[in-house]
Amino acid sequence: MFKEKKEETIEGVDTIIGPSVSVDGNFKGEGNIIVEGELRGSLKTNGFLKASDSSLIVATISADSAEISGQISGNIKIKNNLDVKETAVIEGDIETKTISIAYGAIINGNVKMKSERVIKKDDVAPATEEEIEEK
Amino acid sequence: MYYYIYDTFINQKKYENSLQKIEQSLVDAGISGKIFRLNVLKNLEDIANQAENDNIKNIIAVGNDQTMSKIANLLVGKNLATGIIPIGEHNNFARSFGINSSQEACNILSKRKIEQIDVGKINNQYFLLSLKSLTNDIIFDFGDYSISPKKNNKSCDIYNINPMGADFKSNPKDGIMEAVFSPGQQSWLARFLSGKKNEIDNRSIFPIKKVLIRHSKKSVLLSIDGQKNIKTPVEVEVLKRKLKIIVGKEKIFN
Repeated sequence: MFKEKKEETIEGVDTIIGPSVSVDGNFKGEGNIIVEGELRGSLKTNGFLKASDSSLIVATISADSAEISGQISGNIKIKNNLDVKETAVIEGDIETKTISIAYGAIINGNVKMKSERVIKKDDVAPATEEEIEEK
Repeated sequence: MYYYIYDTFINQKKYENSLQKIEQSLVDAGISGKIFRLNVLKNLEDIANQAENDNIKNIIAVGNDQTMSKIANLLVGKNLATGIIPIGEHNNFARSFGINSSQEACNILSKRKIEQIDVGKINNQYFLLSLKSLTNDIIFDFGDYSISPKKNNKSCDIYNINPMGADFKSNPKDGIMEAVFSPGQQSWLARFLSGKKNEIDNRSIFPIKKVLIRHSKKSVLLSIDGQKNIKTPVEVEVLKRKLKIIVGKEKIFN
């Protein structure tokens, strides 16, 4: 596989969808993917996805982890961590294990976290009558 | 034992001295062998078949890229190693295999360090280095998805080995080739806004095992190893480690 120049930015990148091409259909990558151009359909990888601020993705996305800075229209399913940068515009539902969202990012959709941690009912004590009256 | 295949152009007088030196070097290295001079009547396929019958293990091209390309096309999948003694101009193959001169070639051939490399199959032909298209009216069809270059794209290439690229290397032993789409020159403003220093930063790179290359309007020409052209549509496929090549230490791949 190619090495050299792109290793300066990200190690082990297998596919780069640059700004001079458009990809249509169900794209399935084996490794890490950088999107700087257009993709329509679906995108699936068992590696890392980086959608840069010039990217335009109209597709459902499935990846191990991702960093989103561009525009995405479609549902996103991430196995581990999703990092949403301040320039990101996401129109679609998100399902991920962990997420970080930068100030300025736009997300229009539901966010569902698949975390092992849940709120235990016992930890939340019911309010007393006095507390209710005070309110 | 070695078979040496001399291309037709080296019959020119200007190569006479070079050939004499080469032949002496081969004798000194103890690897002299049977010489075949190509001409319209001499069929390369017959020579390859004769080599197999004679239990020959090495067929060496004496010439340039065109000579090597012709011979390599016949030896794909066979238990014969090939190598090159470069003469004249256009020797990208030799440089890729770490052979920088004809004298160096004789030493390298005598050491017989062999690498099994991938071969690209395009319809019923083979290529070792690359395919090139200089037009954007082209679609890479992978079945499930397709890649189309936009108007700002300048060239589309598929690399098994990139003989020119200091900034991009393709490994011809991994069973994968790379499709590279390079955009045209951008204005300084566009470069400034994108934060990219040059067009190389905007390249697209896709790993390829098999792809149908077709056109959207008119059939386009693809250059095979810089030697000959073929019209789209074509089916391109990687054949993993199907050719034995004799290489030097300075080969451009690992």
